Amino acid sequence: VTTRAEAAPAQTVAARTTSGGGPTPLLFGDARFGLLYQWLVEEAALLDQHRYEEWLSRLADDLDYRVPIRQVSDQSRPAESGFGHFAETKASLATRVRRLEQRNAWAETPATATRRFVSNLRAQVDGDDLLASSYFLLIRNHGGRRAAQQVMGERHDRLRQDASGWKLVGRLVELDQTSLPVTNLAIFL
Amino acid sequence: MVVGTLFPNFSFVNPGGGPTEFGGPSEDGISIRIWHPLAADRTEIWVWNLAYREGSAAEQAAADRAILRTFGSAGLYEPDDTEIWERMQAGMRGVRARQQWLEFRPHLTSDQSWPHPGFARRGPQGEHRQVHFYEKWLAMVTAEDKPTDAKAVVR
Repeated sequence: VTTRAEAAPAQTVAARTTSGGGPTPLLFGDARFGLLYQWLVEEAALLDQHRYEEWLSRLADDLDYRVPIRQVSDQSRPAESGFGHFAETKASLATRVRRLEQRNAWAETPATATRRFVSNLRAQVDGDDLLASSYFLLIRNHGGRRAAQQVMGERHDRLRQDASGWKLVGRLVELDQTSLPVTNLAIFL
Repeated sequence: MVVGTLFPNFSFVNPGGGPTEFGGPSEDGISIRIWHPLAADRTEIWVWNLAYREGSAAEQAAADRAILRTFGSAGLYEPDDTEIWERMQAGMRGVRARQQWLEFRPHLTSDQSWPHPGFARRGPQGEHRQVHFYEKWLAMVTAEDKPTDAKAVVR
């Protein structure tokens, strides 16, 4: 993906949005749309294959990674409550990865089998950044248990290019489920 | 670290403070939980986090982080607890487990000088909470003085 990322026309991206102001939608056929979708699909593969070091290398140092708790009420409310499942930096996610490498990290010993499906991508350009809103479905199989567990929702990502490729700068995950449908979140969304 | 339960289904946990990421500042918070029994082998836990009302937004966010990065659903500790709870349920369902007594052993003694209601213990985590929980539960379900509506049904 690094090759694709380096080939991305960052100058063109900036030029397009300086006049209009605000994010500009990308057509499906746009090269940057393909770049974004490839980035997301490859990220899903890295996480499903537990290649966490490679995943960390795709995160920006100033990453803001949030998974708030889904709230449902009669009145309209902000989707994001203060409390959540994740409110992370790259450093805290790296700490989780170190934890997962321990033999007594029982939630992932043995590692669960996960499949992350990413679809319905809507891409935008915002200055030098690329924005991706996408659906995700995560199916998790746990040890010898018969029933798989599922997590689903929508992710809003911001990617920015640096010398080594496109990095995740921001992620907001909107879960569809209010009660957590998995035993735990000893994995990443 | 402080953990405790108010019979029957209200619990609290305080991680005791510490950095929640490499090189990060020490942060601490208090979480309260309500245990909702859904079935004999299923429990749903509702989690709240406490923060000082007078605290700044940054201090309240730090209190949130201290819980969700430790005893949160995705924290450093709690995911492994939930895994063990499910494995215990699976183990207890077996034929041999049903034939045997369930033994509580580690650190059962309570602090005799505790001046307040209930039981307390200082030192390593033990199973006295579970023992006291089941003692109370057993006393209530075997009590002669049942609620009047229950008596009416029996007669």
